[in-house]
Amino acid sequence: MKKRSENELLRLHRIILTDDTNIPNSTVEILKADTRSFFDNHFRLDEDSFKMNITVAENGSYEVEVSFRAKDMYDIKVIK
Amino acid sequence: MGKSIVVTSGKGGVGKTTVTANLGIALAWRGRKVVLVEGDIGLNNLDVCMHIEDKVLYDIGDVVKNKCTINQSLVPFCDNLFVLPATSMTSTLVSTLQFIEIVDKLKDAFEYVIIDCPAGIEDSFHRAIKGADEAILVTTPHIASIRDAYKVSRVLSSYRLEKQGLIVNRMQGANVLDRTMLSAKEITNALQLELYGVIPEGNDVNLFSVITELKPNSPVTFSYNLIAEYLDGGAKKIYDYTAEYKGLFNKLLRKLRQ
Repeated sequence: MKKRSENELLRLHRIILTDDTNIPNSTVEILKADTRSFFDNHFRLDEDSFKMNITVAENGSYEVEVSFRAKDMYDIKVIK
Repeated sequence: MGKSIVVTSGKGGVGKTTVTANLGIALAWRGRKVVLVEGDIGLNNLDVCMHIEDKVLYDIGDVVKNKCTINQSLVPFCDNLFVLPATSMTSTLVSTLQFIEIVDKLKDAFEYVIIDCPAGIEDSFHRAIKGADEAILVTTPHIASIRDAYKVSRVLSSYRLEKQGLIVNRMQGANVLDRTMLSAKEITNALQLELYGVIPEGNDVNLFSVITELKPNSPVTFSYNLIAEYLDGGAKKIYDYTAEYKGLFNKLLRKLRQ
C-alpha cells in the first residue's frame, strides 16, 4: 500500500518536534566534540580514551572533568 | 578572498559528494575558480566520484606533514576546478586547526572552496564544518534523511553557522503529483531553511555521476546550473521537477503504470 505524503508529513513534524525536546542532550554532545577537537589540535589522542563529564553542583556551578590519553604531542607548524 | 561552503547532510548516501562535485563543475563552467576539499578523511569518495583517483600524488595528509605544499596536492579536474584529495587512511592525521588553516589559505587563491562533509555528526563532521563560512544541506525526500538534515542544521546553528541553504536531491515529480512523495516545498517548510534548488531523479544518472558525463540538456545538469547561478549572485530559479508529468495525457500515463 502506498504511503500518502500527508501522513508522512504529519509523521515528519512529530519526529522533528520530539527531536527538538532532546536538544539539551545534543548540546552536551557538541560541547564534548568541541573540547575533544581542541585537544586534538595539539595531541595525537589515543582512540576512545577521551572522556568528558559535565555535572551541575548544588550551588548551580558547572563541574567539568576531562580526561584522555595521548600518544604524542604535535609540533606547532605552519602549513606551506 | 573567496568563501568556503560545506556540503553536509547528516545521513549518508543522500548525494553529498555528487552535489559537491557537480556544484564545483557548474561554478567552474561559469568561469569561477573553484577547489573541492575532501572533508571525509579516511573514507574519501570525492576522488572516485570525479574519476581522478589515479591522478592523486599528494593529499591533505601530506600537506600537514609538510611533505608538499597545498598547490602540489591539488589535482586539476577541468578549467578552473581543482580537488584537494584525502586518500590517507587515518582521519586523525589532520587536526581541526590544520584543516581550518588549509581552507583559509585556499580562500586566498580560489573564489569558492567547497568542502565535502562526512556523514554523521562525529569528530570528522565537526572538523569539516569549522572550516566553512556557510553550509548547504542535502536531503532526499525521505523522512530519515530530512530528520538528519534537521539535526545537522541545529548543530550548524550552535556553531553560529547561520547561512544555510537546502538542496533536495532525487526528487521524483510523478510521485509528488501522485502525493506519494513529499514535495520540495513541504520539506523546505519542515526544515525552515532556504531552498537553493531541487535535483530531479535522473534516468541517466548512475552512482557517482558527474554532470560532465551527462548530456548537456539533462534536467540534472540544468538544475545544477540553476543552483550555481544563484550561488554566484544570480537570480534564484528552482527547477520544476513536476513539469514533464503534468497534463491529462501524463496523468493517464501515470495511472496506467500504477
